[in-house]
Amino acid sequence: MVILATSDNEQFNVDKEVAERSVLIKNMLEGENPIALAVAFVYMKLNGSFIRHEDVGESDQSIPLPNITSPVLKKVLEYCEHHRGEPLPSGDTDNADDVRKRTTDISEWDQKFITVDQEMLFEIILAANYLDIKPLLDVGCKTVANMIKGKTPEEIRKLFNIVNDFTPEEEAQIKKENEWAEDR
Amino acid sequence: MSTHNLDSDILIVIFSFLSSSDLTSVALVNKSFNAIAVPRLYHTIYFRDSGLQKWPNLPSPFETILKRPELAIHVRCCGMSIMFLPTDELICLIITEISSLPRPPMGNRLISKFMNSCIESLSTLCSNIHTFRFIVHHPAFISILRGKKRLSKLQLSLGLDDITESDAEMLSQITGLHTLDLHQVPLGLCRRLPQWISNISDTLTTFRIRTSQHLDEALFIEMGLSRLSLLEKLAFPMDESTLRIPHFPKHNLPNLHIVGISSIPNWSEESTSGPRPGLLEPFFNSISDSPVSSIACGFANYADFVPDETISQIVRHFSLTLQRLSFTNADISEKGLTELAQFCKNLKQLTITPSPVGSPTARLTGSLSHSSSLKVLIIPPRRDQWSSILRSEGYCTTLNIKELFRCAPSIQVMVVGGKILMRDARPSLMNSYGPDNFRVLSAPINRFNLAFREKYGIETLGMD
Repeated sequence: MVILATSDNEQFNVDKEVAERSVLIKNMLEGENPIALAVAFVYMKLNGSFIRHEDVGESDQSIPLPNITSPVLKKVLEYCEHHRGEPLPSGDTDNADDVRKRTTDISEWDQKFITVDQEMLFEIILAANYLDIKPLLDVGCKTVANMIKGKTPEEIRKLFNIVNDFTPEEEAQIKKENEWAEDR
Repeated sequence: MSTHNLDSDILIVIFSFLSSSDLTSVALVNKSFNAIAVPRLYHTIYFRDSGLQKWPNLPSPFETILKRPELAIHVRCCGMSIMFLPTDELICLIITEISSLPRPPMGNRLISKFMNSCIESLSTLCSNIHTFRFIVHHPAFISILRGKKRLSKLQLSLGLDDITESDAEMLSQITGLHTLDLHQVPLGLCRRLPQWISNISDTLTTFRIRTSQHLDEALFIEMGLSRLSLLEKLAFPMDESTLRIPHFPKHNLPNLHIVGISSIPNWSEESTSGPRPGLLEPFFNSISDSPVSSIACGFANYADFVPDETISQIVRHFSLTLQRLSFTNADISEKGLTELAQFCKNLKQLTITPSPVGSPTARLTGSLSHSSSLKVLIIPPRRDQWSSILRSEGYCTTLNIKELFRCAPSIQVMVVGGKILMRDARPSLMNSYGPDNFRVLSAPINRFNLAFREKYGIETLGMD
């Protein structure tokens, strides 16, 4: 078990396997306590017995997550719980992006999971980014991308409460310059 | 909480899921969105004839890059498709007639101005391009490709005109390629091809030639494909007018798993053609040591039956590794299909165009019932040489789909007449035979989305 503490001082007891969907937490747990690892190694050598790695990295200390509130962490953990045991994505996804056009398809469960209000959506994206949970970050970002798709600039501004800071001349110039990309 | 809280790293991820036309909208939202959307927009540039028709009223991306060179490093993929290069007179005509703008002064060599902006921006500034789809039937543009160090994927279609010795020389010096896909190979380039292949032999994984009048046996031997130890995909054309494919020496290609053969129709005479006995065998023999998992053969003319010997040989060489077999516009006899079903224990996907002769349903059910691995059966429509009109009608009605699902219990998905049919395993009162019902997915064939493909392991080989 791993204990995670949120910014509003709530503590979550989480299976190590679930918590380690977060690359940040995984690295923390693996990097933690090098002395305990060394002791365990010597012990293993002396006894000739094998100690599982999982027995070593665990501790009672909680991991503070000062950027994340409890409702958001609850949501994130729901995602991690559902996807536990699935292979973690490998590092070189950037290259694959270029090779084939990125799809915005989202699986049925994920789609239901991410149907939340906009504020929660952005909180989940920020948390996934901070905790380094790439698949969740992608689900969140695809959802925002799907909200943007097919909308006019004005509609996008309304959607996200953004003020237009272009002069009409600048706008016309940008429009003209990018027109080549409209034609597909 | 709003997008202000999302830092630029996250916006970059979000925008990476957007199409170019959505990115142009995003670029107009505000300055901070613009700063992230525009570099992403320039990640992939596609420019085709239609863009040239609006030029010079609308600037081309190449001119913008010249004006704002900081954009150049973002360009990774570039596709140019210019088959038809208008004359200056025509451009002027379009400007005055259609956009009713003042006619530009003649003699300022508009088209060469456009070409220069392309060449200058792409060849000198955009040094990060790794994927180039170059379909330009005008040799003057070839120099764009000069000195592209990071190019890994090149699709080249140069038209029917020959190219100069120095251009061919320059192309053959492009190294580091993983994919080389040639549409037409002009004679000048053919001569350089062995040298080029030799220069990229330690990186090439995909090598495809679509059509060429100048390919012959000697050239294939000279290319020395067996040097390409990394080669994974290989496709080349077969000339139906000679009904020969180049004779291949024995190759040792330990990574080759996808092969494709496409026929070039014989336009000169009406002929019933297709793979004659002994036609494809030498090739399959030459790669018999490779772990081939996919074979795709496409025929321009409808070829009734692939010879049983060909199928036997495929089974003999690749029964352990073969997962996907595709004979588009050709059929396989019941004997051949039975052999495939019995011995290719990993065969998951089969594509054939059944002949209406006899009883295609009985042929298919009688043979495919022997397979326990076949999941997907794809039946493309028949095509004929002189018309690209799809004659799919006859097949869907003479083929008894329900019977096929019932008799071949391993098949989960069929693609027939442009529709995806899926076995429906839910128990039904309507049928007493058990799970032989099927559902028609509303998704048409071109919505073969990724999730669906992954679920059923359907792979479009892109080779047929």
